[in-house]
Amino acid sequence: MSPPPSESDVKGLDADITARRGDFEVHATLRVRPGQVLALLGPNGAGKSTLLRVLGGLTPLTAGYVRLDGRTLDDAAAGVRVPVADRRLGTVFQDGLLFPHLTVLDNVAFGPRHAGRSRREARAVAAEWLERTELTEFSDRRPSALSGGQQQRVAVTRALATDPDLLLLDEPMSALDASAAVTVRRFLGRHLASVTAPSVLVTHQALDALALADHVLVIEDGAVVQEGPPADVARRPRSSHVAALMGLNLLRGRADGETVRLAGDSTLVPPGRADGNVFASFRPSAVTLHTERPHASARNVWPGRVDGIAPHGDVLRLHLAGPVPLLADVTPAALADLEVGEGDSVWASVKATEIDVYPA
Amino acid sequence: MARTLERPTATGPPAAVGRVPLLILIPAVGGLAVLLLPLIGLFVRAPWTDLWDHLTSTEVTTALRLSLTTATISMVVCLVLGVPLAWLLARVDFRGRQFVRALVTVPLVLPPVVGGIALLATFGRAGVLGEPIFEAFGYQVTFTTTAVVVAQTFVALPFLVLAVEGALRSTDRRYDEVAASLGASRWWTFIRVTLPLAGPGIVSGAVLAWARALGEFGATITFAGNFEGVTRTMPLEVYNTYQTDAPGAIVVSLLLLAVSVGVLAALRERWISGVAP
Repeated sequence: MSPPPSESDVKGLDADITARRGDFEVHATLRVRPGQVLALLGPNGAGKSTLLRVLGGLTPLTAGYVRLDGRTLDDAAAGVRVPVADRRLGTVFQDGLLFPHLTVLDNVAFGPRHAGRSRREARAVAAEWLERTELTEFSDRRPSALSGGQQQRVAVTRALATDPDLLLLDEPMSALDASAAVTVRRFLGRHLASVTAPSVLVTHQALDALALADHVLVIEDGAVVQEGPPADVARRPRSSHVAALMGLNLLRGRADGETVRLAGDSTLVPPGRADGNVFASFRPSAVTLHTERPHASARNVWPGRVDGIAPHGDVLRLHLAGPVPLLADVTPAALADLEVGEGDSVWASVKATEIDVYPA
Repeated sequence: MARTLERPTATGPPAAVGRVPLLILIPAVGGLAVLLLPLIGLFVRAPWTDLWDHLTSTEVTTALRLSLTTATISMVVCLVLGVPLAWLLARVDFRGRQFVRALVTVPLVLPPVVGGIALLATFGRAGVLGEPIFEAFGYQVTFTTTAVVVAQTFVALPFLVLAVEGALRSTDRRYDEVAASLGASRWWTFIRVTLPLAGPGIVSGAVLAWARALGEFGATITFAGNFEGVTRTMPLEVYNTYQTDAPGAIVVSLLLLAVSVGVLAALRERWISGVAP
């Protein structure tokens, strides 16, 4: 074993974590440079939230270390564990967890207040942040008067207002409905760009990792199973498991208004105008299968071959091989009507309105 | 759409599962009667004609003032001592926590008169602590208004601790983690987050403690005695009056009933109903 790098040579987050939760052990090495966003992507129970809790000081590590800008926050061998309140963190929790008894302004002022500022100064800092995140209109409201998406934007602002050395985001979109998730994702994308601290984002949505992260660790059963830039992880899931945990068909292409060119000469029709490099995502349930080429003109239609069929909840998930590899969910009855089995050729179609196209 | 589940649109009346069985209904009504009949008796036998004279007598007004004062002081003492104790029980894992919680509930089931004897054995002039204190300072607490407060606090504190502990347990502990992650020390988390979130539970605990203190009789008469203007609170006044003047005792009882119910009702509107989500 090589000794860990000495304290001074790593800027940002440098962590080698082994932690235990019950009988379950999770291990990962995390390096995040200042201003970069690392996504921990994985299914529920994979151990990614445990890693985040270790970084946040809420769970002790059993081996390894956590260093931030050369400052040791945890060191199992040396018995160092800096208390949560002294770590200089900004944390965004899954369901926001805004203090229900405080106004939006006082929620955001909470961090600055405990960084030693007077009540007035803290409120001034909070007001400034709310202006920056365009939430000033909600300043005097209680969290209960806000929608889920608004609450989560306030929660992000509250975390940013602490001027953290490390920003931790724990499934910030998972408690939101789809449209609120889109808003918050966009909001995060905009404001994470100006964060100079390293950020760690835990998510089980590939979309979040792709939209927000500079680097992705895919975590499964307490270990890192895939690592790389998000685009690589998206385009080339190295296992069906990674694809499955994304829960999405995810295509990347270049849009020129009305169409998106995908890899290998295929095209995709987006729901609206799209330009430049885009991601296109849709659920496997949005895919309809046909034995003959369907004639509807405005549809996205691709040929494919059934490569595998597996039960997925109360539907069957088909893996289609071809120029556009797809996952398709169909009911057992629908599959029986199609009289399609493994190895058969099919046509897959997806309505443009079912596709979410967004800039890469 | 792959999966659109049919969901009931509204919660209608519960499905018909038959009539309420008489074997349940009859004892239930009987239970209600046990609670209500004595109160009705109180109203029926009250000397309504000279009610006002009774109410404005010096003995009654003195006792009422003493009761309200001591019950309120006891409530404050319970808050100051009980909320931290409840927090310790709800938030800190320490050895013997279950045992401490069991100890807290002992005064709850102890006959108050036994509590009074216990207080005498401890703080009385010949008591474990009372004797050295008397020898050193010449002060004894028994038969003073302070003793009334001590007796009331002793019986009321468990109500407050249990109510507040329950409230603290039902508030989301993750708010404590949020506060810590925003840089707040445990003390400031307690002050600025935990206490306000448990606020309704603390208020209802305080009301319970106040009501218990107001009705305290056994421990008070044993430990503090029965001296007009000093230790004769309303329940003791009821007892005293009853020796010579039964209708008068009923009037004082009604007054005590009115005060307790009035305060409970006023607070219920504002606070206690807010506890239930």
